[in-house]
Amino acid sequence: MNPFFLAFRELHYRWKSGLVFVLVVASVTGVLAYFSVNDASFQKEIGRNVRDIGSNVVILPSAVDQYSYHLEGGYSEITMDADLVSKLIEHRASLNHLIPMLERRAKCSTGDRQSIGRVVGLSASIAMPDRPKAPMQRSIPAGELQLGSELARELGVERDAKAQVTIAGVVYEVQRVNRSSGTWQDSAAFIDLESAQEIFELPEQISRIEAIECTSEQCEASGLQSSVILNNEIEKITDKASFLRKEEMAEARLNVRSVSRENFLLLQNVLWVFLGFTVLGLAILNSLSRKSEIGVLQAVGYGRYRIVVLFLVRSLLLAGMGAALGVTVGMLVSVEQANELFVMTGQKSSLDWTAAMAIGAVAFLLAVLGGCIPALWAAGENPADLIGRDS
Amino acid sequence: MSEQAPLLVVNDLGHIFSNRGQKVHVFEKCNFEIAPTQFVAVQGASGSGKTTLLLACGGMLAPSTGEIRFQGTDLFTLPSSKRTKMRAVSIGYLFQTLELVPYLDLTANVRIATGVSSLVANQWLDRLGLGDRCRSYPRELSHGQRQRVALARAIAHEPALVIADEPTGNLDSRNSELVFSVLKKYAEHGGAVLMATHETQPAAFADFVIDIENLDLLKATVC
Repeated sequence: MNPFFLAFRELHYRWKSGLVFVLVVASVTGVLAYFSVNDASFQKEIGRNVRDIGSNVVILPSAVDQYSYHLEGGYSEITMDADLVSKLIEHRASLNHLIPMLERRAKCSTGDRQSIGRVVGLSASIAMPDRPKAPMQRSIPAGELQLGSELARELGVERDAKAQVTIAGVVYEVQRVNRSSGTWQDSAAFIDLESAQEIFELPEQISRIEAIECTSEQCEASGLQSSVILNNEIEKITDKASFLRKEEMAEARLNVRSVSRENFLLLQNVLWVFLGFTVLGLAILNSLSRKSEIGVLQAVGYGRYRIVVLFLVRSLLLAGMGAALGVTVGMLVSVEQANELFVMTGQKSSLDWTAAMAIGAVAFLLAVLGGCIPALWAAGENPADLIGRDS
Repeated sequence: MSEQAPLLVVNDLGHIFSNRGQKVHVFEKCNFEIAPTQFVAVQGASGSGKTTLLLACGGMLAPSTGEIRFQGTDLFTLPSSKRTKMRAVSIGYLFQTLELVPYLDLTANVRIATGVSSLVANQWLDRLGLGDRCRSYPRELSHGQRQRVALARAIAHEPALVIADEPTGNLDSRNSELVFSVLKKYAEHGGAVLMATHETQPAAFADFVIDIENLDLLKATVC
């Protein structure tokens, strides 16, 4: 008699134990799928939030005296050529989100009020060609201006009111008044880079480039510190620039990423072990409860291969159903949850099919192996030792 | 005694098992032969080793000493897979505990024997008075009915040797007679039957009786 027929009949007869098996596999794969999708969204959310904190690398003209620079609150009037940006891109420096800036302290005025502000011309963030990312900084349209909260207060500009600010004789429409950030940016006015170069008569010049480092892979591969890698790279590209690394921000960024990754890996490993042992336990129980049946099948001529096929078909069907159910439910719940939990990225979270396939495949293989091991053992037993020995 | 070449030859068979560190001799120096058409009964008290002897003759339990030759081949020098194949084709076994597969209907329970079609399975069930229960499951049957299904499974593939372990245990006289008559007819039509029994007068239906508690007597009278 066909072992497939026997397997289907047995499943139909013992549907409750089959259901438990399916639910165990589905639960574990579901939790893993849930976390894998949430993990992706979580990483996105962290990435977005950390990115919004700001850049962690500043490239300055090498002539800038860093003591004076910090004494002035991170300000210097020394400039460098703007083509450094294209050189960094050309040499694939371990950086991303490059934002070239030109700044000067200048008089800003509205009708009857005026004040000295830090006028910063900046471009939209520039992504490395092989590291495409959503822009960290959008461009400011020509003729418009964003005001820091304290400068706006000095100039008497309300948050939602329409206003114009004049800088070096050029009139700018206030696009928005930024929320207080607690930094120098509160006393700054932001305009587009080209406008700044024009009004300050510094064509093709910039004061600095802000960026985010992308050195983690190289750090792992070479064992070198991030600052060493960046220093080596910039030295090869130009001798007219040096860089500052905002250590705390960079470390925090790395720590948050690695901690979340490690937590997920731990959970993942615990769940795999749980799945392996549970499935093995269920399969052993199933084999023990079918000792006599295995003995009878051996007595009537079923060889080891046909008996293993009987159990294998059972495991394949149940593991397949459990993995498919778990991955589907886990991912759907995860996406639903991600949309609620992750405000910044929730709407952009998507099904991670690679993770789903990997989780489903590993769960399936574990369940099949777990199901077959007891069958192999039982099929190798002497029929006389199995008959009448159901546990 | 049959004049035909022996189907099963048992030479100096003995079996020992360990119980709490002590060796227990179930039986020893057991010798007999069974030829086609012979109906042989094994008699003995509970625990005397009838089931052990039958399991060994069916190639399912390796004896501690001696040899069992079936159709001229020493069963326990064969690899397990070949022994399984031989058993599938040439031996039918009726277990004392019946061992029907609970999730198969009666037809399918008989069909798990090698090469048995649904038609043949149903014919045997009909012959054993279960023709109207073919689609029933073992749990829906009485003990006597289940015993007849187990007999059908042991016999339906027409093996050279049918081994039946207490096939009439717990059966009423009507069912016992039915089982005996089927086995007897099977032997008359060329099959050999080796049956363990607790009946007090097995000689009434058997060609010869193996009294497992007096194997010396068996040697003197049979071999």
